[in-house]
Formats: sequence, C-alpha cells, structure tokens
Amino acid sequence: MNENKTNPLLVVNHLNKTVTSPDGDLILLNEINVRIYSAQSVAIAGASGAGKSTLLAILAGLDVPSSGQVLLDGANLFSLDEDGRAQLRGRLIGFVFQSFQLLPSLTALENVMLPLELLAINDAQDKARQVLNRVGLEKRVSHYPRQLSGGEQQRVAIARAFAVQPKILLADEPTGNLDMGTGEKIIDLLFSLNSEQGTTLILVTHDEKLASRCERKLYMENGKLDEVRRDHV
Amino acid sequence: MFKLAFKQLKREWRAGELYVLFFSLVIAVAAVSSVNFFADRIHRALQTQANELLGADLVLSGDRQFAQKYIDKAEQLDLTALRQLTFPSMVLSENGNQLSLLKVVDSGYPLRGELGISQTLFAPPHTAADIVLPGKVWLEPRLMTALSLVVGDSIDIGEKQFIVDAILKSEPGRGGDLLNIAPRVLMNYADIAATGLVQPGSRVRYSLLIAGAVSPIKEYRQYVTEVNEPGIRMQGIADARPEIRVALSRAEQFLGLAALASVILAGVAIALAARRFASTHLDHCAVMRCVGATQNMIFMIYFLQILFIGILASVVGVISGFLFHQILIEILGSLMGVELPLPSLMPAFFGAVTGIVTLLGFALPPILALKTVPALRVLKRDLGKISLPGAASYLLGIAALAFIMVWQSRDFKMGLYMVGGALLTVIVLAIVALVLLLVLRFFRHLYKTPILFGLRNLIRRPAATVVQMVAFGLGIMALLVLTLIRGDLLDQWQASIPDDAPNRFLINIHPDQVSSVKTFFQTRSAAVPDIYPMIRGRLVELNGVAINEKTVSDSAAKQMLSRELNLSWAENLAEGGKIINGEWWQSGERTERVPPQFSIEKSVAKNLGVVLGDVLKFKVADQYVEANVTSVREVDWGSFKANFYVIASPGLLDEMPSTYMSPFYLAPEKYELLNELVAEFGNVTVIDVAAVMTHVRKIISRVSLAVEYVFVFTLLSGFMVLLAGIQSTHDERLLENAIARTVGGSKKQIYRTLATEFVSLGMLSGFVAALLASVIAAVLAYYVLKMPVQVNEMLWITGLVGGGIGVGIVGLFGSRGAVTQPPMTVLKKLSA
Repeated sequence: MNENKTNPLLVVNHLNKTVTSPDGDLILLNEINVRIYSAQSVAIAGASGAGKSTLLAILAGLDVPSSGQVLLDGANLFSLDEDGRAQLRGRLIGFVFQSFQLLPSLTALENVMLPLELLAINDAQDKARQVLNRVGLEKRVSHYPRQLSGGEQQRVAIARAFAVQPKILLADEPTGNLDMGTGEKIIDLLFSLNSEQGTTLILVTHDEKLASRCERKLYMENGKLDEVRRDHV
Repeated sequence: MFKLAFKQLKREWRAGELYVLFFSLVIAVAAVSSVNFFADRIHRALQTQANELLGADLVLSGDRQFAQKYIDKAEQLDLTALRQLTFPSMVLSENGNQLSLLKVVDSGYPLRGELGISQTLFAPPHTAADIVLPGKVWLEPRLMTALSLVVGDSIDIGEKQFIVDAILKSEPGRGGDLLNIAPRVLMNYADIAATGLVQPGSRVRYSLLIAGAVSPIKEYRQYVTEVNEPGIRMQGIADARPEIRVALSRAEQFLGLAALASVILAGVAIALAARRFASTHLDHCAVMRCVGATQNMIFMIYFLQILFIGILASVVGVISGFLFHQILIEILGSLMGVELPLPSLMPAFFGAVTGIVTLLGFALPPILALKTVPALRVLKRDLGKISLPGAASYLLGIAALAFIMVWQSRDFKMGLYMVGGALLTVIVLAIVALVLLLVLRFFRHLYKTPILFGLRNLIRRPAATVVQMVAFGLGIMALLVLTLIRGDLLDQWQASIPDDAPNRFLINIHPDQVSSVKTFFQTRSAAVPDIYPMIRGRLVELNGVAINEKTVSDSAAKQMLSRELNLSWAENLAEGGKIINGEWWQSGERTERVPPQFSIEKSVAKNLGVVLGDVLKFKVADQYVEANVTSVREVDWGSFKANFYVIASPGLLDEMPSTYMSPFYLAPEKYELLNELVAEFGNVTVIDVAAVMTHVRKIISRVSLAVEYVFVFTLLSGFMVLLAGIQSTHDERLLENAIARTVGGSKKQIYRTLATEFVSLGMLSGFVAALLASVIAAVLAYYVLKMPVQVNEMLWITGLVGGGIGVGIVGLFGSRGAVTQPPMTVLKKLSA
C-alpha cells in the first residue's frame, strides 16, 4: 500500500490558520505538517470545533491558510489563484459532504454528469451512467434528489465524486446524516471504490468505527494534528 | 461551454424556475414590437406612396390664387405645372344634399399616380385616361350612397348642373386624411366659374402641382424659398402630408409610451426574478466551483443561459407582437384610409434589442455576483449569502430602460421627458403606496383574527409590497383613465352643451344673400339666425414690425401666422364672449365716430404676445388694415356660438371682400328646410355640427381603444411583477405554511390568509390608481375642458373591486404551490 512513500501526493508544510475575532486572534490551525501518499486511506478525527473541516477546506483549496504550504501532486496550491485551484480541484479532487450537496434542480444522472461536463469530457452521460450503476442506482438515474432517500442521495454524491476518477477523495462526515445501517453501506462503497480506483481517501469523521477502517488515523485537537493517537479515536 | 449552459437551462426550464423571467420578457417585447410594427407599416405606406399621395413631385399651396410668375418659372425650367382648387361645398340631388369636398383639376392631373374610376359601386376600378370632362363630375362611393345616385344621374353644385360620369375609387392625395369627413367630388377646372362658388373671401385652398426632373425641381424649390411669399406652403415627397406625419408621430409616441410602461414593469419583474434565479444558484455555483469550474466558466454558463432566454423570449415576443399589431391595424387602420405594405424587419429588431437590453440590464448584476460565490460555501452555508448586489445594481437596469425610452421616442429631448415623466409617476405612486403601508402598519395591533393575518404579510415585506402596489397602481390607473374617465369627460362635455346650442353652420353666404337668407327663415316661421361677416386676412405687422411664421418661435403662433385668420366686424359683443381686459367700443348707431380698433381673443393675444394698445396690421386680399387693440376677449368655444379671433370695430372691414356665416340651432323636425335652403342658395354650405362631433368622438374612442389594448400589456406585466414577488418569497412562505400546518392550521385557513393578503394588496393598488386617476380627471376637466370637477364613484368602485379580484385571483394562483405541498416534504427539503 505504501509503495509511493518516496513521492507523496499531498504535502502539508507549516500550515497555520488564524482568524481575527472580537476577543482577539483565534488560532484554528497550528503548525500542521503531514504527508499523504497515493492510495492511502486517512481518517482525520477530533472533537467539534477542533479545526478538522478547516483543514479539509484548505487541503482542497477551498479556503486559504494564514501561512504555510500545501503541495498537491507537486503543485503549490496557494501559488495558484482561485481559478487555478478550481481547475486543479476539478482534475484531482473528489468531494463527499455530510449534507450531500446535490443540486435539487438536476436529476441523479445530471448531478453526476456535472463535473464531467465542466471538464468537457465527451461521453459524460455514459460515464455517469456507469458510475451510477456501480453505486447501485441504475434504476434511479432520472430521479431528482428530493425523490431519493438520504442513503441514495449520498450514493449519488459518491458517484459524482468518483466520476472524474480523482486522485484524492475528500469526505466530510459522509455518514453524519445517515442512520447506522445506511452509513455502513455507504462506507463499504466508499472503501471499495477507493481500492478499485486506487484513490487516496481523506475523511473527516468522529465515527470511531469508520476511522478504524482507515489505514492512517490523524487526530486534531486545538488546531494541532497528531499522528495515530489510538486512545483518542 | 455552450452545450453545458444550454443543458442546464433545459433543466432549469423543466423545474419551472424561469417562467416568470421568460414571460415578463415576452410581454415587454410583444408590447413594444406590436406598437412598432403598426407604426412601421403606416410610415412605409406614407413613404412608398409619398408622391402618389402628393399627386406631383412638389406641391405649393396657399389661400390665394397663385401669381403667374410661379407658372412662368415652372415653364422656364421645363417643369409641368397644374392648378388645383379644393374647397367644401354642398352637392344637391333629388334625394337630398350632402356636404362634400370639391377638387377642381386641370387636364393632365394627376402628375404622379393615377385616378381609379368605375361605373358601378362594386366594380373594380380601372385607370382613367384623362380627367373628368367639363359638365361632368366623378364622385366618391360614399357620396353616391349618401345621395342614392347612380352613374348618369344629375346633381347641382353651386349654380351649375352636372352629370355623374363615374365613381371615383382612388386618387392621389386622398389617403391618410384623418379628419376628412366630407366625400370627394372631382370637377374639371373649366367648370369652376359657372358654379359661382369661388368668390372673394371664399374658403378655397389653391394648389400648384409641379412635376419634372430632379434638378429643375430642386431649382424650383430654391426659387420658391427665395421669393418667400407669406402663406405659401411647399410640400415635396419628403415632407408629404406633414399634418398626418405630426399626428401620427404623436400617436406613436403615446402608444410607444404605453408600451414602455409594460417594459418598465417587466424590468421590475425581471429584476426580482433574476435575483431569485441568482439566489437559488448560490449552492449550484459553490458546488461547481468545488468540482473545478473557474469564475469565468460560471459567468459564461449563466450569461449564455440568460442570453439564450433573452433571444428565445424576444423571438416569441416579436411573433406575439406581430400577431397583436393586427388588432391595432383593425382598430386604427380604417381611420388612416391607406393600403398598408408589409412591415420591415426594424420593429422586430427593436423588439429583440429591447428584450435583451432590459434582461441584461436587470439580470447581469446578480449573475456577475454569482461568479464570486466562494467554493467554501459547500462547507459553510452562511458564506456567500449576502454577496448579491444591492439597490445600486438596478442602476444598470434603469440606464437600460432610459436608453430604450430615448430610442423608442426617436427624439432625445422627448425621450428624456418621457424618462422624467415615468420616473415622476413611479415616485408619486411609490410615495402614496408607502403612506398607505404606513397607515396599515399603524393599525397592526388590530390584525388579530386569522383572516387579517394576510395584512401582516404585507407589512412584513414592505419593499415587495410597495413595488407591487406601484406596478398594479400604474396598470389600473391607465385603464381607469382610458375607459371610465374618457367616457365620463366626453359625456360631461356633451351634457354641458346647451340643448339649443347651434347644430348647423351655414358658411359661404354671399354678401348680397344675407337679407334673402334671413327672409328665407322668416317666411318659413323659423327662428331667424344671426349672420356674421367673415373676412380672411393675414397678420403681417405687429407695432410696425413685420411678423410671420419665421419670426416667431412659439408653435401655436407659427401656426396662426402661416395661414389667414377669420376676422369679423361687429357693433355689439356677441353672446358667448366676455371682455377680460380693456373695453368694447361704443355700440349704437353705426357711425364713423367709432375709431378703428380691434378686439382680440385671449389665447391669440397670449400666443402672439399682443397686449392692449398694440397695433395690428392685416393684409386682406391686396389691401392693408391697421388698428389698435382695445380689448381682450374670453370666448367659450364649447358653446358653438359664432366667435372670431379678431373682431374689428364697424367701418374698418366693411368694404373688404367677405362672405357671411351663421351658426344656428334648427329643430330636428325642421331639417327639411335645409334641402330647400341649399336648393335656393346653391353656393351656401351647410355643416352638420353633430356629424363632426360624432366623427371626432369616433376617432377619440378608436385611438383610446388602441391605447387601452396596449395597456393590457401593462397589466399583464403587473401580474408578472406579482408572480415574481410571490416567487421571491416562495421559500419563506413555504416554510411558514408548513410550520402553520404542522401546528394545526388547516389548508383553508392558509388560503384565507393568502386571500386577505392579495385581495388587500389589489384593493390598495386600486385605491392608489383611483386616487391618481381622479387627479388626472380633475386636471383635464378643469384646465383642458374648463368644466366643473365631478366625482365619479365608479372610478373608486372599479379600482377597488377590480384590483382586489384581479390581484386576488393571480396571487392565489401563483402561491398555490406553497400550500399544496405536504408539510413534511417542505421541512425536509428546506433543511437539506
């Protein structure tokens, strides 16, 4: 699994994020250094407000750090502008969110097609159908999100994330809005796609069971990131 | 990119999010293009038929016979010149008499175009080889019908008898005569003397028709300009029928303004809908940013979508406008009497530009804001919520509308006035609406029963409520003014005319006939009418300084100086006149002791800037008369009594060439007398005042019907504003209703609350509209028609009830989706 250890996919160096609040400066991320290799699965755990989502947002280039560096597939994320980061995201990163983030006016198929169309991929519809088949929604392609259950909506979101065959999949509490049974099925799906496509999986969770299925576990507390603190997970 | 934008648009359309945006635009484009298609066809008719309308390349016209030098000059330049006379006269037959317009022409007429004649009423016309022969006349079909004539019958005109030789179906110079109610008679020039109709002082229009090659025509034009004889008007192909052009361009500007009212309202609906479109796409954009879309991509996707909506709506709007303009043609076309050619593509182009400019003006700012939505919004929803631009962003839309207005009016100054007028109306409406809303708010503690909850909804969304009230207020006001007030004022005006007001005018009585006309009535035991002298003279000097249409700037003064005025002389001040300044001369025995002086009518004095003591010099025929102004009169023109702009003291005009006229009331049972009268005095012309009034009324009602139709678009746009308003608060209402139903409210209760809200919104708008319409009615009555102001309660009833029902129905229809969805579905959807 760690055959690419010499050549990390994601490198985080001295990452800091501070925001100004009425009560003075608030440190959200404090000197974060981490390397994540291709095809690894990594859980980022921690209590609410520890800074997990902030870190995830910065890793994806959705938010900018106060200082520090993130190298994604060799590219320095913050030497690019907003649009440059968006394009990089489109090519390399897939997202799965707690609240699914499907577009209500689009059908399941159209939601999955969206990133493919943005990348101007020709057979977007066929590809989207294949991925929806893979997540078991072949009979739901023309349904709108409101006509789907929570589990089904998350499967559409996963299909959308994997449709562009990203190098990294970022998942923010992917089972947070689902019941336990459904959540487990979703996680199974996530891991099997991860191994099929050799995608690097980074997921933020406070679900212990979920975290323990990952190869690496990182723990966040007061803006600091520590490797493998099993007693906390 | 294009494919992606188009695909997404298809999805949006299916979801029903774009209907309001689309249809608002369709209505605006349809309104503007229908008016422009109509105007375009009329213009083209005038353009293509210009020289046919003129019957020549150049026409000189005036109140006097043209001097020989004009004909000599034409001959010298190798141009053809023909004389022509037109004047009203009675046509007598065994079956009655009819006021007609005589056109007396020389052989060779027309120089351009042709005469179409036939032998029976319904036979297709053929081109006449020459003009009518002496002793014969050609009559227009309606004259044939009116006098039950057939070809071959004989008629009397003046002192001569004529044989009806053919029916005149078409002739140059006829089309487009809006107010020409008298049917045409074509007569040979050789016959004019024998009729005895043309006497010094007769109301005859003399024309000189000129035709030939382009450069001599140009030279001839130059010559006439240099001679610069007062009272001679020159019309070329380019300036054919200026009076029609002016009337039409007024009508167009008015219809155009009416159409623009719907564009303004559509702009409001588009602004609301575009804002809603942007706000519902914030998540969409964040997700797209997340999966790799650049800012430009996002902008282009939405820009292309908006552009596509604009193009599609413009196409649909232009087609609807084209279909709709047929109704306008139906209503107004017959008044024009012109064969209309197919329209050009210009109105379609203008309609499409209006649509796209309005859309981009109002939709671009929110769309531009979309590209700045941060991708982080996918994780933190509260981000990007307030990034939509505020009120300042509407400046672009307002600028777009101002641009369209100025363009539509084809006159920068006029366009700016329109923009100003529109803004002022909207501001006044908005202030009244705001005041009403504040009053409503003041009593808010009273709205405790569920049925009044609807009123609280109005107070809670003050901006939306005011915008909607302005929109409906505008639409309802326009319709009230055009329907109720118009009819009302016309009725009131007609009612204000006394029963014994003159209903017939006799004109063209020769001086030697005055006593016999009086005897005519006396011997038939009818009231003997007053008969007044009428002298035609042109004002040439004011206080020793030459004055003509070129030396004044006031348009009314220009008009007065460009023609001869009707002057009169009298010993006593006539009924219906009142001295407001100075003194009337001593009445009594006609005597040389009364020094020469003039009495002048108030509006003439004002337009020409004449005050007491000024010296006026008139040219009557070839003589000059000069005197001081010693009094200013106010005249009640509505009384139909004889009145003149300028009246001279006895002795000043007595010897000038004159004809006599008499306005008088003739009881309907004595109408038969008129046949005898014209039989006895062939040259005397009888004008039926009632017929003129009916014709004027018909024109007013046709024109206002056309404007009403255009205002239907305004009302439709008003409804689109309402739907856009409902749509923009849709999620809020959905949540409110879902929660209300969760805690036990029934659908019926919710519908009742909504009904209260919309019905009261409609009634408030109706109130605002009725209020402003009343003000407009009062101003029109008092200042224009000079009648006492009357309250029309129907105005208020129609405004309130119509507004309440109309807005109530559309409002409930528009918000039904917010009630029928099961509460759980709503709560799940909105919390997702």
